[in-house]
Amino acid sequence: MKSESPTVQRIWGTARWKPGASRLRLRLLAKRIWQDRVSYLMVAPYVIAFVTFILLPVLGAIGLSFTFYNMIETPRYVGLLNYIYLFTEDDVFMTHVLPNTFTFAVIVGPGGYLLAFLLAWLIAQLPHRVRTVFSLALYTPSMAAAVAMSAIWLVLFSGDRVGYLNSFLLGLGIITEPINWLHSVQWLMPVMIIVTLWSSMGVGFLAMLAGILNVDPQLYEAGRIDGVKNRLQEIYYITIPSVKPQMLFGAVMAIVNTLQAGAIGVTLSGQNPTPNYAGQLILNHIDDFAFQRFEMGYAAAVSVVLLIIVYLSSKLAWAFFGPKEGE
Amino acid sequence: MRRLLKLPVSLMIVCGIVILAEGPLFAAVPYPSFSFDAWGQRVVCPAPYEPIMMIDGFDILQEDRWSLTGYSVVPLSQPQGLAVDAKDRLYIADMGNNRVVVYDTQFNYVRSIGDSSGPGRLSRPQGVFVHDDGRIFVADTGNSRIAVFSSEGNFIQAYGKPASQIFGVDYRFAPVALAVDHRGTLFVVTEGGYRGLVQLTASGEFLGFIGGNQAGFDFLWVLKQLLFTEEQLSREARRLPRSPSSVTIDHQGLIYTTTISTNHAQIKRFNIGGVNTLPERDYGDRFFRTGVSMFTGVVVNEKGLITAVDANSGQVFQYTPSGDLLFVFGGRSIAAIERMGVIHQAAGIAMRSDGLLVVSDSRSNTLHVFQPTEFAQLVHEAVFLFEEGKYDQSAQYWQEVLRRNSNFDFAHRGLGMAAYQNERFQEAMDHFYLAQFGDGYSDAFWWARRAWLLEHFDTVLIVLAGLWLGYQAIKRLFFGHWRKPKRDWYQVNRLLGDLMHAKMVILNPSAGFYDVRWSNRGSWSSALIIVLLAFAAKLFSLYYTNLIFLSVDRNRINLAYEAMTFVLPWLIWVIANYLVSALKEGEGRFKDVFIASSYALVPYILIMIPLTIFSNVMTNYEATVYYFFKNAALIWCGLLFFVMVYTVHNYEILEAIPNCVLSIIMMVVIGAIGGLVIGMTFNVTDFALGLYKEVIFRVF
Repeated sequence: MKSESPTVQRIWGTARWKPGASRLRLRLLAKRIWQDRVSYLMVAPYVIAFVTFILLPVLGAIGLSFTFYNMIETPRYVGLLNYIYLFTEDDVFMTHVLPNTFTFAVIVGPGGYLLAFLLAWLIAQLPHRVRTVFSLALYTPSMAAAVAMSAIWLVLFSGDRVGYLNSFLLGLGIITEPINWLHSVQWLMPVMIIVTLWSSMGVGFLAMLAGILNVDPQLYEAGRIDGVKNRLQEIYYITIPSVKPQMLFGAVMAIVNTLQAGAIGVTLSGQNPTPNYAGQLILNHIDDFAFQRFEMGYAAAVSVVLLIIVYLSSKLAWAFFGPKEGE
Repeated sequence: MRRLLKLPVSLMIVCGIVILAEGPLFAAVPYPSFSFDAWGQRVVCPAPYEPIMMIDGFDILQEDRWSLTGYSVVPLSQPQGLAVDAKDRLYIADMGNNRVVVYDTQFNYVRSIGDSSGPGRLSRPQGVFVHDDGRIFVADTGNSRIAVFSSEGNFIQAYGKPASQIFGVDYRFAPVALAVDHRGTLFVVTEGGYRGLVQLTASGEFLGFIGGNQAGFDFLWVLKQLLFTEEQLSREARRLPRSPSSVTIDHQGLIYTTTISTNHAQIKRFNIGGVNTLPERDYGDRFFRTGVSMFTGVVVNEKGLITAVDANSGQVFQYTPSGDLLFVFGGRSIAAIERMGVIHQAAGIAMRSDGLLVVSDSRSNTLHVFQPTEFAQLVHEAVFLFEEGKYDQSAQYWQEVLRRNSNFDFAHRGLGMAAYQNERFQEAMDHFYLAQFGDGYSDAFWWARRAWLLEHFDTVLIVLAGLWLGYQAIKRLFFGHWRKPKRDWYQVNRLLGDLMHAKMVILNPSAGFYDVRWSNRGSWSSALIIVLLAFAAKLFSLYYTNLIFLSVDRNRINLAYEAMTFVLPWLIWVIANYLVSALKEGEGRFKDVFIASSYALVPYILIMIPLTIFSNVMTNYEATVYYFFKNAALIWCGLLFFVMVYTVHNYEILEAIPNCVLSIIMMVVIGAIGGLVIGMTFNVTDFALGLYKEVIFRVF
């Protein structure tokens, strides 16, 4: 048997293996808790908030995903039926939603991530005042996306002859008739990707910026003495290893944001489902089933699948950026 | 004596070879016929049309005061546009004789129109159209007008240049072809009419242009527009779109045009809004084309079958109503012989309601009449049903077509659609595979896969869960605290160790390549094995990737060609990079570059083989996944090549970029020189061989 650490022994005492000791153990536990009541008080707000607002809903969703629930009747247990339906019968999910989400995630995830790192690095080179202005400017889109979208992108991608992009391309003779960017099956996805990339300088960007600014300047000096000749080497040998934790955070945030982006297609095209499901992402699908068809059980199943995808993707990010053995 | 004999014999052999090269000949048909497979490649097929008659107009007698008999024979001269009326009479715009000739259904001469003096006299007419009500519209090119005649040939009226301001004083209104819809609206093709067809109402009022081509996008022009001043711009030659060359109209009022001197969207079908409803693609023979396509005539039958004629090749092209190429037949002969069915300069085309096809030949002053064979009739019948979506009914016709010509891919497509419609997806997949019809195959496979999943989903889940649990259990039970010792493959075998070094390269490229240069990792043999493996992976992906993602025809894969385009460029890269780096103080030896470049191919092997296997359970919907991983493999390899350059040669990262660029330029140079040397060698050997033969011939 493993020898227990002093802490364990202190908590459980020696009463552990004596017959009929469970009541004693409970009392001991209560005593211990009472002793540490201040600490418990300190963590209580977070624990309570976490349990009520995150843990319970997630568990509830997982529970609901095994039921049929239309928000009026009591949920009826149906086993794995929702999942089976999702992967075999739901043609929209298999033919549009999943492929769309994959395309979107593959481009926006790494693309936005690289962009965030690059811009963070560039901004870090600026003097202090200017840097603040620029980082605020870059961070704004992710805060005010919905408003800015209608102000800028809807005008830019307007489908008629006077939309900025159409007008510009028509003037150059690249196209001969205006393209309805936001309602065409072919163009909605690229537009969504562009807009999302633009607004992807979120928390991850700020974290990376902070990380880059926090790198000890002495490291760069030491590097220069050791033979670092240009900025590219600086980034590769010093900056990236130093900001690895922030980069991991940025990667996880990028994945989560990408997979949870759903409003974008609906906002741009102004309809849910998007035209011919061209911009339908998993979140739109959930929204469609939950709040338009009121099939809560099924929507819960889809969101559980989304949860699993997010979990697996962040595992992947860990594999890439997480601390390795010996670090 | 011997020489004299030999010449004709060798001539005959040469002729025979040339004729054989033209394609197999069928009895009584003096031209090869082709259908096309999904890749646009020619497939020989039985003749869809056979020539039955050649009309030269030597039966046309005209009054002639100076002739003894009072009549003289005036044969056709430069016949241009053709038309057929409701009674299947044939109208020929006989340009050289300034008249329109009418033939009856038996191709007997009936009358000439427009050759007598008066207001109806024609001058070099190029186009003719017969309205449903029997009126004959003639594009009277020389007189810059459209002349209208009654069905008896009496002049009724003429449409001159429209009085719209769009047509300035200098504008020459020279109609060359026209079509009239049932309301009497005229659609006129004019010479140099780049703005499209002139649309005139029955009363001659100008309605507008329709069916104009587009000038297309030209990057240089955009640059000029951005940079030039207005004055400079005005001095530039104007970029004008190509003008249509002929027009026809079907019973629905859809307007078909052809455009010459282009290889893109040569045939267009406009609805009344002026929108082209045919797919914009190359309608010519993509792989065997002599020069540029010159479609000079198009005709549509009542079921939408499109037939067009190409003046450049003398071939007749037939398309389904959706614009898919069915057959090509006809063509110029090698010798300038007059032969039934051999077209020299195709000008116009017409189709009778019984399916007879008439093509005018303006160089040999004849008309060729073609009759559909039984094979073509079967195909047509099947296509009509297919186009209407009656796949089930079309199936029996397709089967009959296949019985006559098992290489007719379109038939498999038809049978596939029939099976698909009846939810026999496996059968549909087989047919679509034979037809190499990727989209159809994908759809059929999607349904088949769905059915399979529906049946086995719980099994799949249980198996997956079982595997995972088993894996976890084994890991916990047996390998809990015991870690596998790292194995040094070098202790087993040198070659094996070199091959396993690839793992190091993948996990840590810099260190991996460093060891290649400085720790003697890798050997010639290991490098060779990896390159061959990569080539094998390439071949594997060519042969076993799902049809949907194939970009080449699997049946036409040429091993030597694939090796030339895969291994050879790699080898040239190694040489080029070594040469460039040797000059630029690179520290890598030739062997290092060779070995490191082989390791850079490892991601391709690692990704392509599983991807190829997985592609077989994917459909079009998962195409993104497929292309993502495929591109990832290529990008990864590219990055490894880059890392290899700066590690092996001990460069700075920034130094490696110009080095890579130079290496690529060097590759091009080596390729060009290599091509030159091969070409020269070929010529020299050819010369030597010729000399040897000549000597033998003269001496003995």
